Amino acid sequence: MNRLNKSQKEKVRHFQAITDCNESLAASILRSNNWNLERAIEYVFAEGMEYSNIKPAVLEKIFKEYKDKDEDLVMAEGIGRFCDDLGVDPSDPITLVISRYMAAATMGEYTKDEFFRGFQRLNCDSVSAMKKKLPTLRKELSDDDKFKDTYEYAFGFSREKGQKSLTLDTAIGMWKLLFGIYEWTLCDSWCDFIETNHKKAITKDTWFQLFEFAKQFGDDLSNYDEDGAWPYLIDEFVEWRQEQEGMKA
Amino acid sequence: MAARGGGQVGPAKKLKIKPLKLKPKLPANFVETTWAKLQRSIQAVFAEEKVAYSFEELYRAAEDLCLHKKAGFVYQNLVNECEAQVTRVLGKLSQNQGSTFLSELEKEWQTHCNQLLTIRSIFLYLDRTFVLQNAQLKSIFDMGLQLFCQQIEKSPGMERTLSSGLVEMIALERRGDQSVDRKILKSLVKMLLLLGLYSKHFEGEFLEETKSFYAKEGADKMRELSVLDYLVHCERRLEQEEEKCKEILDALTNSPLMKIVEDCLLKRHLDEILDKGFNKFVDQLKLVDLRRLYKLCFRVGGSDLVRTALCNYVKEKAGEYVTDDKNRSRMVQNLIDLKAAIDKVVLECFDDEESFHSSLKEAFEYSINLRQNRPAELVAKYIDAKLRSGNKGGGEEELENVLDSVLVIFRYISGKDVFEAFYKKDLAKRLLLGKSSSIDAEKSTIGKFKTECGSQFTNKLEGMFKDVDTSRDIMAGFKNSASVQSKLKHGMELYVNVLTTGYWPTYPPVEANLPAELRDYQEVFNKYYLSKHSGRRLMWQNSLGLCVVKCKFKKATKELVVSLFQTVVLMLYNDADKLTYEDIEKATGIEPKELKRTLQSLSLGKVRVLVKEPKTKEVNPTDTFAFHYEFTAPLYRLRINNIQLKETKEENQNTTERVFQDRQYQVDAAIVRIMKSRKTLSHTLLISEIYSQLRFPIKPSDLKKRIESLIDREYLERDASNAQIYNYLA
Repeated sequence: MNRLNKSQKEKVRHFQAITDCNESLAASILRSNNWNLERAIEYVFAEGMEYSNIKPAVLEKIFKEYKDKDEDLVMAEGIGRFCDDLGVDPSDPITLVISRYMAAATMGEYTKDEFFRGFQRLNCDSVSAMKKKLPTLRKELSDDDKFKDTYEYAFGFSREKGQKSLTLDTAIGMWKLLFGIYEWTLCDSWCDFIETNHKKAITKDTWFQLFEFAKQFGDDLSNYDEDGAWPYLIDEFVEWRQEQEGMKA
Repeated sequence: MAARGGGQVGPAKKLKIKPLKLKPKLPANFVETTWAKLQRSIQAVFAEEKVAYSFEELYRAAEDLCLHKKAGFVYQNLVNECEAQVTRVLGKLSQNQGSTFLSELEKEWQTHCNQLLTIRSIFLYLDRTFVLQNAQLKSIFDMGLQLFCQQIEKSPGMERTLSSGLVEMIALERRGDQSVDRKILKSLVKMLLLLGLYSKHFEGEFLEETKSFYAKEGADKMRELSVLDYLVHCERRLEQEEEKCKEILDALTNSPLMKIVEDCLLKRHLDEILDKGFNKFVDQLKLVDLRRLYKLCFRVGGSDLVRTALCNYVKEKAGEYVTDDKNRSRMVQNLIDLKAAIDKVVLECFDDEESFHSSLKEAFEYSINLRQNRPAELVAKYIDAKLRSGNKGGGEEELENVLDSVLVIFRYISGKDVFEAFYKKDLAKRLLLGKSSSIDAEKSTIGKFKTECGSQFTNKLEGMFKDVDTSRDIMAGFKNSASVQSKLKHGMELYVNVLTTGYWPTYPPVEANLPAELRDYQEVFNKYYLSKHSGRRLMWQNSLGLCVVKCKFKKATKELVVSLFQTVVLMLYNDADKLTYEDIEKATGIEPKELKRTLQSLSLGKVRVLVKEPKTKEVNPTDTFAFHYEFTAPLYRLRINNIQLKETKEENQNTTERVFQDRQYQVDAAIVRIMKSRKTLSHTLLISEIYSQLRFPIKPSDLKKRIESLIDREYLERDASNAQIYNYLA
């Protein structure tokens, strides 16, 4: 807390008054919103977060259980145990939802802040409490809007540190995972196309727009307008699909 | 009544007119006898016999009758007589509707008309008074015709026989039967016209027959004749029909008749005619036939088809030239020739129609831009070949013509930046290696581009000329500067072109260990130049250097015009007779690729001043090179620097790549410029704005890539609520 300057402290107090959450969480939310009080508050209400006043000491204990020996992070091994305790497979998409609640920045590691945030936002004071929440969280995957959040979150989460785009392999893995839930039937076809024709990293724009594309068209591309603003990869995909269908016919 | 004369007054003499004592009386049977007289005469006329009375007498008789109020009686009787006559004559004819029917009918008709005229003369008084006063009565002549007409209509089949007989005659004539008697034809048609029977049966039947005749003929001839002959045939047919119509038929028939003929002979076969004949005609430049074709098509409203055919022809031909990579050296010349030929065709055969010109422009643009860069590059090369010295043939005027015609092709090119890049590269070589045939021609060419594309386009090209001019002044100053001359002692001459970066193509710097003498000179010039123009930086472009060296061979001393690299290699042989590849590489420091090219030109080209061991066709790092002391050549001065002029593959690729790179920057710049001023813009609007700003062709998909790249680089973002809208990120 000492690192905060006067005006920042002021803002944290304001923020707490409105949102009724603890000090460290308030500070971290404000920091992630660039110390813009209004935006931070909007963010909180938009997320519909319930801020519990779960004692940091409780969370500290849980965190210590999974924490890496050397670093102040939960690393791959800890995450594995965490998943085991939750009773989920680490490759289960539900882990994406949990990570999203933590707002974890990178795959394979949770910082302390992130870890805390997740428990607080889900209002859980133990792993077993979180386990009870799982069915509710799983529902988020079948809700279109919530799924979109998870999908978009997945881009930043899967990206390697310091990279702007997503490597092709990761992207394809993620797509298969996510669209498997979303049941977009053209996903395999899309991945084939990307693997054979693109062979480059996937930009954020393409990632984001692909979901819109899947949502809008499903597996019927007959109304697609290539003069629209769709990314060129999607244009090419549609053309490729049509060619393939033409060859079959 | 009194008459006075002199002074005498005599008794007045009365003149008294007394009435006739006896009222004049007509002879009792006056009417009967007079009419009988007349009737006999009429019958005699009809029978073609001698009339017993003089016509004068008969006329009087008719007049008398009329004066005695017997006009009605006379007219009625006359009608009866005529009717009897017509019935008799035509009744006889209707029995015989054989082959001679038409000629007999014609004869009867003529006779009937003559007889009517005679009779009318006799009854002229009647015709002029009684008939005229009674509107419902027809004049004697008309009455006679009407009776004739009625009779024809009454007789079974006669009308049919008549019109089909006529139609048959015409058909015979069409088939080329010379024996058809046009006189009969003509007079019978005239008869039909007079009797008002023309349009009733004849015209329809005639047109029907015409249609079936020409439909068949069109199909047959189309099969039998070549298109060329077919067109000649059509033209003749049209003329014949026109003439026939004028001579025989009613003027009103003309337009439906011609329409049928045109329809059957031309319109129906238009596609086939154009399909089979057009390309061949243009290929062989058959101007007369093309003109005929156009005229005929124009008649039937097919000039649009001709235009399309011409455009397709151009597209096909030009497209073939453009995509034919094997004969690419001929491409530009082929296009020029094609354009000239087509222009000639349009001018001479197609009335120089404006619409043709604009369609042609489209066609040419379409085919030339089938390939993005090659045509632009080849046009630049074509001009280069014409402007290079040693280009044989033609004086200044011819060169001018050639340039004008190549400019036409240039206009069609949409990627003018590609052209500019290649042109610039070639121009640089011409200027620097002294290969330009004439500076005047160069300048006039640039002038042409300037009028065509504006000064922005030629700005840099003109800058190149300026550099060459300034360099000349600098060198003059350099030579006259005493301080400089005192430092130069090697007895060589140095000429430097100072090139402004940006005007000239960029050249990758190629290192080489220059001979000490040269290095000294460069040093001196550097100092001299920088003392005059401080704050500038000079970079030596070794690859563009040109040297003239003297070389002593066994037989004679020769002057060799060589590139700087060649010089560097040759200079090594001042101290040695034989060197290995490695030695040379080490001593010169030239990079392997360039060195190989250089050695190849010296040992494997036309002029071989080095002897390679072993004698293979490739230069290998294991080879050795010896000075060819025995070298002989008829000329004193020898050029071996052609490798400099020749364009290497890499060079070509570089130029193209650079153009694309430039385009990318230009697209990015345009997008940012637009978005900066608009802040928010929908995709479609942005695309159309970009297109309005760019001066080269680019695919929409490439534009998208640039937009996405800018999104990735965070110049733009998609609007959160609508992905079709972009926002500018400051």
